[in-house]
Amino acid sequence: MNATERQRRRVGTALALPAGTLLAVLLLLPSIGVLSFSLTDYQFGMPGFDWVGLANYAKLFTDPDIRRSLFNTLLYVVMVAPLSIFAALALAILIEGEGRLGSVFQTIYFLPITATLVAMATAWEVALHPTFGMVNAALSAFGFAKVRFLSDPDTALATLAVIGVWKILGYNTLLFLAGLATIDRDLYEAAAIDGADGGWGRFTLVTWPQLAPVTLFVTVITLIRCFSEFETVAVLTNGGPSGATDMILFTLYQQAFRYFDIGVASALAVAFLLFVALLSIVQVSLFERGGAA
Amino acid sequence: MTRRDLSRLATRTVLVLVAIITLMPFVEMLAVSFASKSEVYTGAVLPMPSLAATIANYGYAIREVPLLRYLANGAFVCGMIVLLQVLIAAPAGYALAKLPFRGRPILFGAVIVALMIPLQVPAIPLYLAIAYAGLLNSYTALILPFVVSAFGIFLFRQFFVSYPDEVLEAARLDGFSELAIVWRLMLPAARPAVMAFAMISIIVHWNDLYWPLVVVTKTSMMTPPIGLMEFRSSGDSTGHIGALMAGGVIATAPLVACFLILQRHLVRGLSFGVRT
Amino acid sequence: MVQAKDLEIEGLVCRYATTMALHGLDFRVAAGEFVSILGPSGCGKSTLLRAIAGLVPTTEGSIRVEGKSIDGLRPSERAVAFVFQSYALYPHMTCRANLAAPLVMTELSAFGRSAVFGRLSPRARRVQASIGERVAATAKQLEIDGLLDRRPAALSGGQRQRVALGRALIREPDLFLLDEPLANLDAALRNRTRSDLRALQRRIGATTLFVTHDQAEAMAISDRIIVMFDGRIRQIGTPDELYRAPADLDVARFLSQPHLNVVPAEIVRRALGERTRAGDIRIGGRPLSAIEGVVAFRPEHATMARLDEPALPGLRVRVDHAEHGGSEANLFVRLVADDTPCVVRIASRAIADWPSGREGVLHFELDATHVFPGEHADMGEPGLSGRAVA
Repeated sequence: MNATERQRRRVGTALALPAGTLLAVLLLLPSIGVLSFSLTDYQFGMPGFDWVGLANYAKLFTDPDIRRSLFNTLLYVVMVAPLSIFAALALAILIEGEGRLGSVFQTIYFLPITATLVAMATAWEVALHPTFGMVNAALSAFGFAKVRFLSDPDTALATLAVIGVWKILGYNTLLFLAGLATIDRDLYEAAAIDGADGGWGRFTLVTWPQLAPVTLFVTVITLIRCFSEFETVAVLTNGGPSGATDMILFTLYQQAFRYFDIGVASALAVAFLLFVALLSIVQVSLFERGGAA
Repeated sequence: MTRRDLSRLATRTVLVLVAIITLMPFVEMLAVSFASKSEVYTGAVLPMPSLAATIANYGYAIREVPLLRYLANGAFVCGMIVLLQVLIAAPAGYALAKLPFRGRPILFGAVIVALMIPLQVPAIPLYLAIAYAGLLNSYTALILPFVVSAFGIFLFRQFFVSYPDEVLEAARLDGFSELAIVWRLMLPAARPAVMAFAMISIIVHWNDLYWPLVVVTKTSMMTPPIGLMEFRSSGDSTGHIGALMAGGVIATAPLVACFLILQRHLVRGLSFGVRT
Repeated sequence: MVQAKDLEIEGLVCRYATTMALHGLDFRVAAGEFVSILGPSGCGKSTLLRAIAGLVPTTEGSIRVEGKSIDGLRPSERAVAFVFQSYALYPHMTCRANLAAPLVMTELSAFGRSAVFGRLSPRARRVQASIGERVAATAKQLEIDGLLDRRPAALSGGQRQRVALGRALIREPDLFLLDEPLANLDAALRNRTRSDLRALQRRIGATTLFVTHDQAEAMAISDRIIVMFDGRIRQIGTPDELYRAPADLDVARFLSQPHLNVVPAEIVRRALGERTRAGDIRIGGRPLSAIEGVVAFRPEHATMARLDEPALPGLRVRVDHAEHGGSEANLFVRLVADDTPCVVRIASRAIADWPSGREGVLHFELDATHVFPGEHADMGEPGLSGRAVA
């Protein structure tokens, strides 16, 4: 090892040290802390705690409120994810065929990405309002009955799902467009020579297989974002009406920071982490396969 | 009309319909923020705008709801977060990509693990620590958990990995010290990555609701999302729906404007991971 | 004109997990000499250059310039100039700043470099002025004075190459290290640049090491060539020595690209017999009767004769196809005896005489033919012809 090599190592350590320390203190150690909390009956403000083993995890399956919350989360994912992925793929392909005009649509579709969701959720609430909302006004103008979208337990979760699709569709479209841009034009010409010159033929022979990695990536991101839905519940429904829109992160938030039941909240956090980590492992391995050194 | 024209017409129809649905809440928000309460309650699809009502709505949002205070808080918190994130993540990303220091594989492993951990997991112990330290309702509480971004480190590492090694070797031959390489070569080179990362980070933290909701209860410390939520759920908002929407416009407008100006950078940052 | 210095490498070993390793290299380069390091990609030639520059650490051995070891020095203290294959220009700096960088970084203090203090200190201003003059002089010498205010992205490949050359020259180095500096140029420019490069080197007289994988390039401009395979030196010699007496089959093949004919000695013996009326048939100085292994000759040392012409005995071959190459052509044939492929250089107007499938007799010049141990023999052993330096 020569002098240059030693200096490079020194500088490397110095540059990486702040990030490494902060990662450990702010993210990794607290996450391990949550694992330990989940095995206790610790309540914020109480003087002591007992180890309770897996009792908190058992509660995730037995407590009716938590069970309903988990079920709602799954239902929400099922409603939002497939629609927002396939619609985004279709929109990306349509936009790509439009040339210059496509970029106008592109800009419009991307708008929800940057918009403050709390504000936009409130705007949706006003638009869906039974007495003066734009949507119900339009419905009654066409002769339909008005719908109490957010206060009817039968429609509340579906309504949040629509807002969820609205929020995520543009981002997914953006990702698919980026993926489409990487497809080699020559492949389409080769496909045309091989007889696939129609839209569907091109799609099955070239576009879909070429987009497979992007599609997987989009799917993972979408699933994580659906599992993590919080804002619309917290702002619009508070989990109601009568628990119809309670979802995992909202339950977690309430258990931890409203009821201060740290044990149960930690168990929920660990369960949530498992969901996300499983999906992230897929995502990171894709990242590494495609992008890294 | 040929088949080609027909398919083009169908395509445009679909695109326009989706555009209408996408724009609908924006239009509703703007329309209501420009209208008087009586206009809103007539139940027309679009209420009529009026200058007096507009002034009243936006005036109320700025004066009665301390929206300017929220905006200032949001700008300060976001700015500090992005600044610290870049200052901490960019050097670490460079070190991970180009410098052979002891512990490099460990740090990289930690970054990969950290990428998978959503904030809500460490949030519980962090909240307890901040509460015991008496730091609830402070800027420190709002900023601290975010100063190190695993995503940022990863993004900068990927960026620097693709920087040609030969230029670094040339620099060593030309007498650059390792710090001079960072300062004089890497910093200027990293500008596009910093831009892309900063935009993503600003969007995430400007719009974040979860963490402010955990550590902030005082109005004076609220950021725009939690401030708006507070205003919406207070009894006050039912009488001032126009002001509520005006608040939404004010909170949303800076980022949307930013996006429209810097669309290209943002798209490049957001699609990081797809363009391989 | 710089004061040329000699370079001496002794027992140089580099061991790594990732990069190509070097297994004990010894050689000397005389002051002012232009030496090419030639070898296939991955043979360690770039690693050798980087070890001399101090960019990669060495495990054992020593590197001496004018008898003084430079092993412990930082790259910037070694007075070596390096031109990279990708040119490695600083992308965000103008050409002027790129040329000035080595001087600015070594001759100005951190204070002197900063915009404010650099203007205040008289000493820094003097140094800056002298740097400015040297940049101008170097740019003029390389005819890039019109490009100084552009950034690398706005230059053509050839212009970038000259800026990279300028950045190397401006330090007035003891040693000039060139890592495939012509590889990224197109063919026409490459030929012109390589003679320019050699002319420039003669003019300034700097001791030069030139890494390349192109044997024609190495043959064209070098005083001597070092041939490397797998981190070891196989042969050192002038272009003529290498051409006439390659040390082993690998070297012979590498220098005879794209074609070298390699025929088992046994088949040659059967076709030619062991003696003529004049005496023993000798190849590479040895009687054919005693030769084991293979016989190698180049396409330009082979000729074709028709079966019906009376001629000396030769190898019976069948024509496969011909490739037109302007005035000359390559005729691809196979030995009737064992199907070994061979290539014969013929006049292109003779292509019509050799349609596919026709049989003929192949003759080769015994004087220009080399003998090597068999294909699978240990190539580390000295060949039978020429001498190996390792």
